[in-house]
Amino acid sequence: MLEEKHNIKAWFYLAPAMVLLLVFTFYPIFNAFFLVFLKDYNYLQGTWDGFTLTENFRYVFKNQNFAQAMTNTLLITFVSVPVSVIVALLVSVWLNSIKKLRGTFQTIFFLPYVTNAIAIGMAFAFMFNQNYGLINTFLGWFGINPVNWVGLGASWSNAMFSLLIYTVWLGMAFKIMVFLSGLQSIDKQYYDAARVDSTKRSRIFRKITVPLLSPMIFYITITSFIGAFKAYTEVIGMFGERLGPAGNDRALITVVALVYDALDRSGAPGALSEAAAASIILFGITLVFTLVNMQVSKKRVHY
Amino acid sequence: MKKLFTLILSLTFVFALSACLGGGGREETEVTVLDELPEEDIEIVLWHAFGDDNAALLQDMFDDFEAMYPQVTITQLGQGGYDGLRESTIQAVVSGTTPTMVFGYPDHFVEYLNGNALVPLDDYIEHDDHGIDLDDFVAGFLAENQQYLDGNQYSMPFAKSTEMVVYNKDVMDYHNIDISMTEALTWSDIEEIAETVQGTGDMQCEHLFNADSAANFFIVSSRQWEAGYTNNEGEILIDNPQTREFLNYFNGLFDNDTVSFPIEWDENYGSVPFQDGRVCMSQGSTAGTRHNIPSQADGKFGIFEMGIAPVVQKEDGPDSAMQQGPNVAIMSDATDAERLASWLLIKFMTNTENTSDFAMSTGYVPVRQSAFSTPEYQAFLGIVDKYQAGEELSFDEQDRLPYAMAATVAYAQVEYYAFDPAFVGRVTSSGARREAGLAFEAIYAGTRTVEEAIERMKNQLGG
Amino acid sequence: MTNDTVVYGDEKSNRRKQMIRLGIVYALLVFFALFILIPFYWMIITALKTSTQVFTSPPILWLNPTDWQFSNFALALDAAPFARFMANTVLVSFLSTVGTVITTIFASFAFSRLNFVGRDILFMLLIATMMIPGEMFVITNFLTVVNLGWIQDQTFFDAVLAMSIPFMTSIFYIFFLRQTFKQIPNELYYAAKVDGTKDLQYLWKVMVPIGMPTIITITILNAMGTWNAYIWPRLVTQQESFRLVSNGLRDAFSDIAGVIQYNEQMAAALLVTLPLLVVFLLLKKYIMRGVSRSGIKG
Repeated sequence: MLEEKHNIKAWFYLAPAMVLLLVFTFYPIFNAFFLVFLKDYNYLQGTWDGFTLTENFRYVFKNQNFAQAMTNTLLITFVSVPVSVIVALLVSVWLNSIKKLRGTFQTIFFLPYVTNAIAIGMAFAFMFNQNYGLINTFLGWFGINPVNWVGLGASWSNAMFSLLIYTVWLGMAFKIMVFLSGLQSIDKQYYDAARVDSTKRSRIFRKITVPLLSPMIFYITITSFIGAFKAYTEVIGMFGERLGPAGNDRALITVVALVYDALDRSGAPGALSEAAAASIILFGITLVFTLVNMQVSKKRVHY
Repeated sequence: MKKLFTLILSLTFVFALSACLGGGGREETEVTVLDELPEEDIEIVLWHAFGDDNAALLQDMFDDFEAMYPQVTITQLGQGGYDGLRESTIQAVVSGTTPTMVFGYPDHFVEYLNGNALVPLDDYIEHDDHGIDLDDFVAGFLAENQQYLDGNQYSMPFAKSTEMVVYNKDVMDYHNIDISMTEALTWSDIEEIAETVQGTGDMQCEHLFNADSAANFFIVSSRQWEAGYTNNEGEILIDNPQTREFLNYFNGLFDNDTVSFPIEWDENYGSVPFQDGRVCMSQGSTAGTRHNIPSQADGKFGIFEMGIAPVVQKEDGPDSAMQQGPNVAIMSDATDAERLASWLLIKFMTNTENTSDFAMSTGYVPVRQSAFSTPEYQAFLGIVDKYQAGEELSFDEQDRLPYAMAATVAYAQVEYYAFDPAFVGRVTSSGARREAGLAFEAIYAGTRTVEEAIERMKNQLGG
Repeated sequence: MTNDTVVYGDEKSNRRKQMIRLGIVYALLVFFALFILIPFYWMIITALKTSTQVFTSPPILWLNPTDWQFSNFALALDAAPFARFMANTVLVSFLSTVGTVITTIFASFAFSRLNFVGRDILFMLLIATMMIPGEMFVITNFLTVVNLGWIQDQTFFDAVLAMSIPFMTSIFYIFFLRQTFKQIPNELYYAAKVDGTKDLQYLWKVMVPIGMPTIITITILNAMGTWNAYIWPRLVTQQESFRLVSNGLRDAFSDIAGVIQYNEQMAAALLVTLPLLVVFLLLKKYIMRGVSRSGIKG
């Protein structure tokens, strides 16, 4: 579709957003890219000891916890995002298909947004408690022994499993809201036509709903993956600064946690550059993945 | 397109250059002590990490000071905890928007010193008119503020806390065990007590002893066992036989449930298990007295009587107890007039009457020796004497009794308070203390052996 | 006739299948709804407990109405100047949301409807900026805000500017709205052009109404962002009275030992987030309103 270029006009429309973005988004990133090549940057004085190409990156790679952080981050990303997108999609479609109580359910699914984060952390700690938690009670009905999910000495796998459920929970409200608003915009005519043809529900879902919703699915998928690579507050929410169950500290450390570790010493020379290096490494990985994701999605997104 | 490209390039250049504009770029602070406080209006901005309760007490002090020096106005701002305080102050140093005075720990102060952001107080301390008699201050508290590598004193102690052991007096009395409020128990004593008190019986506890802070436990034990821990230069010295000795010793006590950490019950503090009878003794901060006061009618022992004792020591080893609590410093961007006003405020806040009052209202320990001997403070401590003599206590005295006991215990240990050296670099003192706590917890949980824990601690602190 | 009988029979079994299917859907929805509700319920019940009840283990899951500690709510309000914080939050939220909505609508229009040099690269660049963790921005942005003069000798006005201006746009929402706008058929645009409609008119008269569910969603989410903002407001405000609701919520409830009074804190949290819930309930139907494309006039 060849259209005339509207360069000047476009920049007028973009100007308000771009001015703010230049100052508050691009400028800090330039700084980060500048910082990462400084040696022994003293943040408090604004001085440094020369330039270096790889030293700050090497510090990050040589960090004791880097391998674990990468593993955890990738696991969280590639498990929690597909699961939460699919669950949210299904819930939205079900919600959209019922008439009674739809409003009530919609309000309920919105509640995580108004629930205090500390309360959420406490509630989940309770749910996963070994002795009286909901999950173990539920498993007990099937004769399964109580599992130590997040308590003293819990294993990495149990703790990770709990974290994944928590992460999925946290992301649901927004995804459901977006999908619902997307579903509402789908012209009823498409569904009516399908009903006249007596099309199977699953076929309607695959051939009508998903393609028509694909712009939103694309948006949610891309932004969710980007967000998941930055996982950190979820781990804090569930385990506190220990980043893992008691006795198994840092079991669930993530790459962003490494950034915070460095920032915790920001008064020390070189710390800020290390934080920048970790951020940039994460950026690189996320970028590569996102480009691949976008390429794969090209054929499946219909506007 | 070419123009656009050039524009972007030059913008990048400008941004990159201005990146250097961050940072205070302060030279070493010059100190000139004014002879007199000028008449002009002086504003003091003070940042702290207290909650609203203590902030209100501070405000009372500030109101009194403003009455004495009408040209001075004091604005206080809480920063939501020590982490927030540190972060805000660092940003302030970098951007040149520092407050006049700041509370904090030496861990933070060494960071600020990397930016020459604190005023050395020695000239003020020794000044003919405005000076202060350091002899009256508790030596250990001063040492914490004098530890900086260049030999200057950059802060003054404001309020201190230490650790104490609360215990279930009903249970101890039942087993005819007498625990002193001034003489510390030893670990051999604890093992002995465990023989009768630990168990599942009606007047027994499943776990005998809880230590709230695994990190403090590690550091204090290091001193008691004369094991290396860290030093001012940031060296990590934990790889030694004495450290292994105490780690193995306590591991044994962990195994028979004699000593635990709050993680045993998925808690952050031992106050809850103490109150409902799952543990009979709990070692924690004197600031936490309020939470240990028995009030769980449904607990194993109902509402029992609480006793307080000093921190447990090692037999035939140096005595040691942890010293914590905020200090106060003056930031170097302040003008000479502001600095003098701040110094006078510090003198005022730490004078005998104020430090004694603040301590009695909060549970902190006064920072001056003379504060312990004021009539009010003596009357306060006297509540304990009356209690021990079996005398009748008024309602007010009953309320204050636990705090009076905590204060007595704190005072009993005052000779051997110690702090851990502050340093910042690829490894920080706060990082070391965090790793110490995590190491002990891992040994407790059984997820790492003593050797593995030491190894991991070294790795994490390898920098 | 035979057809009628067959249709009648099919209808009945169809209706039964429909009932079963509906039943399953409702059951699944209820299951997920319960899963979602648990922490919210936790918040409410904690707000009604006494200080000692908060810490009992196993936790108390149900309180008799007679035991409900409504005093927690009164105490909570006392703990910090919440009225002041709420007012500040509403102001900052309003400013940043208005700013966000306007900048987002314009920028999304450009990305979805206009063709210009570097459009796709710029869009990709914007998405790329989302890949850097937030803390790295805080440091530079604080310096910027200092250089803009909003920190030294800070007035309330300065503080409001510092808290709202950096948040008057969001790539997250530009992306969102761009997707919605891209779904509007080109034919509509061409038809409008033929009619002589200018771009700006088309944007406000056609695209915005169609994209309203998304725009309302963005409004709500942005407002919530301000409600939950903690780190940035704490960093930039130089006086207690300039702060926002989340600062009051997190900072006001711990004593010198650092132990948090959860019951009061949850009571405060409930009171403070009630307005958000109300806003959502009011705007809900605008999000749910579907638009039948064929009904759009040019």
